[in-house]
Amino acid sequence: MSKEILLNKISQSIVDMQEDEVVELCKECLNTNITPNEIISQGLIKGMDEVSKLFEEEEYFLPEVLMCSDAFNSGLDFINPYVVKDDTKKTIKVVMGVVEGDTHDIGKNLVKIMMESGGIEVHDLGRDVPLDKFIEKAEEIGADIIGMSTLMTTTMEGMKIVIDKLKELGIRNKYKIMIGGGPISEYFANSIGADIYTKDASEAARKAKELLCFSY
Amino acid sequence: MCTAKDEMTSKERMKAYFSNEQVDRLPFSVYLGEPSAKFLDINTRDYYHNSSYMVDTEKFCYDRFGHDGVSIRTGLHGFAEAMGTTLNFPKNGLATVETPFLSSPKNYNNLTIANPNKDGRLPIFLKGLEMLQEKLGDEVGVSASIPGPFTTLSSLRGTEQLMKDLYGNSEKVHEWLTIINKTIISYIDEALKLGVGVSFSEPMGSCSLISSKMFREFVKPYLKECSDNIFTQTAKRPSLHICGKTEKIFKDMIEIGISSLSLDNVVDMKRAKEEVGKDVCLVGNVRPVDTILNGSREDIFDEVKSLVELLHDNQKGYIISPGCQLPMPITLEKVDIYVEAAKTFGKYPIKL
Repeated sequence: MSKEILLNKISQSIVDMQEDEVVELCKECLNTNITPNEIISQGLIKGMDEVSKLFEEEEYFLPEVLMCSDAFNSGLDFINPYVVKDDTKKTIKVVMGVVEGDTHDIGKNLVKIMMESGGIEVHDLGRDVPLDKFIEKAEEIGADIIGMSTLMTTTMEGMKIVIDKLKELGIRNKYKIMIGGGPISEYFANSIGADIYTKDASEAARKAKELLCFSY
Repeated sequence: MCTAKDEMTSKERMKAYFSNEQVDRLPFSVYLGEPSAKFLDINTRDYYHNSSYMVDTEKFCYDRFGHDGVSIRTGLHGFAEAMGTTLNFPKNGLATVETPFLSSPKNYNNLTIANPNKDGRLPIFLKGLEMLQEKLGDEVGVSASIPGPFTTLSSLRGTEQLMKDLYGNSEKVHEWLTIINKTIISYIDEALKLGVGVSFSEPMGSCSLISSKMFREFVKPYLKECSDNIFTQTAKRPSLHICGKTEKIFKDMIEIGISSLSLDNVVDMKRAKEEVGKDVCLVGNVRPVDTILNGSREDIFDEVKSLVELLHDNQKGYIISPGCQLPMPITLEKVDIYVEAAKTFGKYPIKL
């Protein structure tokens, strides 16, 4: 099989949620001397890009995206040991979590999947995250972006508290603040002084990269 | 606070409104629950475990706001808790899932029906319903506010795992949903004995999470079973709230058999009116955070006014309401402004 056909088959198998097939195809690619980096960017990530598109178009929903990302991650886990690391390339670092009082982390996980598949380094604080923890972690790792999400109207205010705290500490400008989740709107983001709101996970990954003028 | 006197009791108003008879004003709801505990200096952890606190809070709010409907809420995880999930109860916030019962392999085949008079906090809620019905039942409709079966399964299994189960493990999902529905129906049966109504929240069935195809397979049939059970006993239908995007399942929600449909603020009410306004009373959808919590008095008045403008002539009726639950930091004063707006613009004859 030609290189192009093989890589396309990987993408398609991700879209089709065929985990085992993705790993098999990755194996086959390595055997035919396709480089690990090509497999990742032309096969795996291309597949997830298509998944993002289907998600934005409301063809795919959470169950589908989660199944696809399992297939993507299995492929990535298989390829990763063969990848030659390039340390000179600056990666975007994001600290993210679901704000205190809310344990719905599925949207946040989705953003993480999309960001990681786009080459962003994500530090995941999990769910029900105490508000101070966002700032602590961001300071610790030198993050570029702090991402917060919530699904519930009852906990939205936590995001504002984090932003106010950053201002109080005089470090608001060190970070870009990105927020999202079911009840969040552009209007709300503006009103609390966040930098970016996106309506879904794939847009979040795209905007994160744009925001820092970083071309992948 | 709003001092405008109502001319009818809520019960009289609701009955007249839905019989197309003359009323003093449009009905409205406040969609509070947990955030209102602090009005009486009760922390949410205590509130969650004490029937009297729930009843006192409802009564306090009803006396002050005069909204059309009070309830005792199991919360989204109440049935899951009764069936084995452990919850975490913060002092100032909503209960959250700690360990989903079905996340452990040893429980995978061991889900059993809960007993509403014994398991979890279900007896506390039933006691609350009984007390509330006794206290306010003559004046205003009392309802048992409960989560739907799919949302309950999400709290029992873990949302992410459930989402994956919908592919490849669907038989098990149906098996679990069947057991959950038996729990829910046995709770409903107890509640109906007290003469109260039922309102469902099924946020996990939202199209923000699953496709309309999945909704028809995993959500709709089970909610319909519950609704039919209620209808057989009382000739009444439950109300339904689903958070997030629901445009693609408008028709499906109607087919469940519901008395009113409460929609999230991300939904276009004009479209809802056009598509299902002839089938069901619409409820919603003032933005709870952007407008009621963070907006000015003018913002609140403007938004309520434009919703009334759009929906007061909805064929099957309209209930003014926030689009989702009001946030934890909401103040009495802010709710007062919303209530004043609802009573001002909802007053008959409607003058806008």
